Amino acid sequence: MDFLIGFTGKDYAIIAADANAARSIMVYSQQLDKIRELDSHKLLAVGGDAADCIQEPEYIQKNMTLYAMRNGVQLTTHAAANYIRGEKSYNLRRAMSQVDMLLVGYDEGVGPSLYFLDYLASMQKLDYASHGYGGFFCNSLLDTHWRADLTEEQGLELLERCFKEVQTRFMISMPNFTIKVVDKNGVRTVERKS
Amino acid sequence: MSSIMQYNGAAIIAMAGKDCIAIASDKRYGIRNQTMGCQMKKIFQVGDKTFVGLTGLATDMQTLDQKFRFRSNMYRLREEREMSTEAFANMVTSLLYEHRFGPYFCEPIVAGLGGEDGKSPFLCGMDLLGAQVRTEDFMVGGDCTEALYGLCESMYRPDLGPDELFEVIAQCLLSGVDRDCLAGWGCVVHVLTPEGVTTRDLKGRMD
Amino acid sequence: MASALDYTLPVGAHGTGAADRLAPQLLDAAPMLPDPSERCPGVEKHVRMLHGTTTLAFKYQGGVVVAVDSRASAGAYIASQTVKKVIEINPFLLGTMAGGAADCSYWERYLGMRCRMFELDQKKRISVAAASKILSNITHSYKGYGLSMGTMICGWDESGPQIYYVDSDGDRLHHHLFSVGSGSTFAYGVLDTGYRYDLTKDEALALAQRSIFAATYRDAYSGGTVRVYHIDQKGWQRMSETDSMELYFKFRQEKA
Repeated sequence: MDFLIGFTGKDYAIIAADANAARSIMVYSQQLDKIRELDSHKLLAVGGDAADCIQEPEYIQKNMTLYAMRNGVQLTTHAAANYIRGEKSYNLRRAMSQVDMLLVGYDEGVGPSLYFLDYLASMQKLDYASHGYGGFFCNSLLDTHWRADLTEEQGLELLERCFKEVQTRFMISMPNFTIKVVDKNGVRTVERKS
Repeated sequence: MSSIMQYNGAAIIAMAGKDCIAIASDKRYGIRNQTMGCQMKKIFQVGDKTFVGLTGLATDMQTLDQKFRFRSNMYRLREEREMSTEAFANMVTSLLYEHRFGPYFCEPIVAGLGGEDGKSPFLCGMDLLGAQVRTEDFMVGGDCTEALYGLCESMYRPDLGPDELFEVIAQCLLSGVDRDCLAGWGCVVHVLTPEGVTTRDLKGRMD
Repeated sequence: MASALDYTLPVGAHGTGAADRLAPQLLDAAPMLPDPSERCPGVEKHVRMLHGTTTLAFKYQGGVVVAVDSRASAGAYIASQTVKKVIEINPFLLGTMAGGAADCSYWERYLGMRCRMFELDQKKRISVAAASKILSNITHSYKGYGLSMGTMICGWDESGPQIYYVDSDGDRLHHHLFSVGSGSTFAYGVLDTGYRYDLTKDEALALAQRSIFAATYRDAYSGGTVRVYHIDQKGWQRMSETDSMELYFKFRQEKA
């Protein structure tokens, strides 16, 4: 039931997720952060099985940190996406985790990028994408309003439109969302204007 | 079985011409009924004279591509020569059969040039356990094979040159995916001749 | 392809012994018809469904806009790209089709007859509310028999423009904006964002077209031609029929 959405814009990539922690018919918390900061310039949003959503990204993050310490360089976003896909596909027929992911990052010389990974470990590089039922309402919205040269302000505006749509049409209540941005200065959380 | 093979959607055709082959695929990346992207790579070049087209579950397509690349690269390093298309097809078969009781949900189509003179077309389709079907004319795969077979049966002629072959394969694929909900959103065609490869993207229906 | 002729009826209604099962079931075995109280097993295979569909209708200051796609699918196969999913019940009433093609066309045609009977009897046009109620009474009385339809009855009556959603569960809803079908969520995404009651006629028509187009692009089971209708006090009018391919390249050019 998680909702993840992300896109690239002019010199930045933005990613957002709902903040619900739900199980069965109840909500434990509406302040959950589903967007993990993998390193200074990479964000990973996760949705799916709640327990797997803690274990898998943590494993990935720690191994990426270990790689950076051992080799003195960080993985590029492209490399990180392929690393994650490799881990997920290796585990697919062993101990499969039900985690859908959106990875965004900013690399020198490459710019912002977004990778879409589903729980089956198929990976696509896309300009804009979303996971979960929310995607059924927001993908068409992104098709219509997304542009490659959106400024950050326009990007946040587009996100708010998506949130509003999910809040009007989707049966499950999603009152809060987390928004994070990555650009050449690194990752940061954006507070929603109320 | 059909539901997992149609989870992502794909359509591929390979055709043999005179001293050339062509292989074409659609570009949709979908999850069930939802189209997520239309830039998906479904045909992979392995070595100079071999292509493999994969249909089925997207994750296994990507995994298999990596495994194929790894094995053919290792072969090149060890043997100091390219793997022939036929050898590659046999390698694919054995790789798939290794997973007899937990298969990769992919049906590969191997196309290339080989033989004594290095320019005889080789075409081969497989099921997901690796059983080969070798043909002289064309091979189709994906989730609209009935439509594609019908089109290829009526449009295909033997011994076409590269330009005519391109035209025939492009028309067959474009018309075929127009009868399929889960494939389309643009196509890509590779034509392989002894001189090299030409790759062209086709405009297709986006619905 | 499974043929209708391959469908074998259950044979040997009375005997269940091994001998019966082994005997050639050719000459004296009496065919047993399916129990009429149950849904005919396997009937779905032989029925053309419009499960993959996007239809929408909304009210605005100038009347009602109705828009639909035109694809009919059987599994992943595209059976037709030129289906008419708007049923012209009478000059003031339109019905949209989603679900079973035969169910929708038959019952909406029947509804047309009932509306005409009402007119002859009462010497005035039927209200949209009454027309949709006739349909929902029918679907409700057939509940559980396997009808499949999701339809919007749209029109203009004495009280102005009206839209009712009626489905095969017998549900009937009155609202100013609906979208029905597998692509409806995608259509809603665009529609909700662009909708205002005070849209001009041109804006309203463009929004309806854009919303159906968005669904044809994202939803695998919607596609073909985008048809747009408009209803005002003079009745309905067919506004446009545009290939979604044409729209894709038009919108892409506008973005660039």
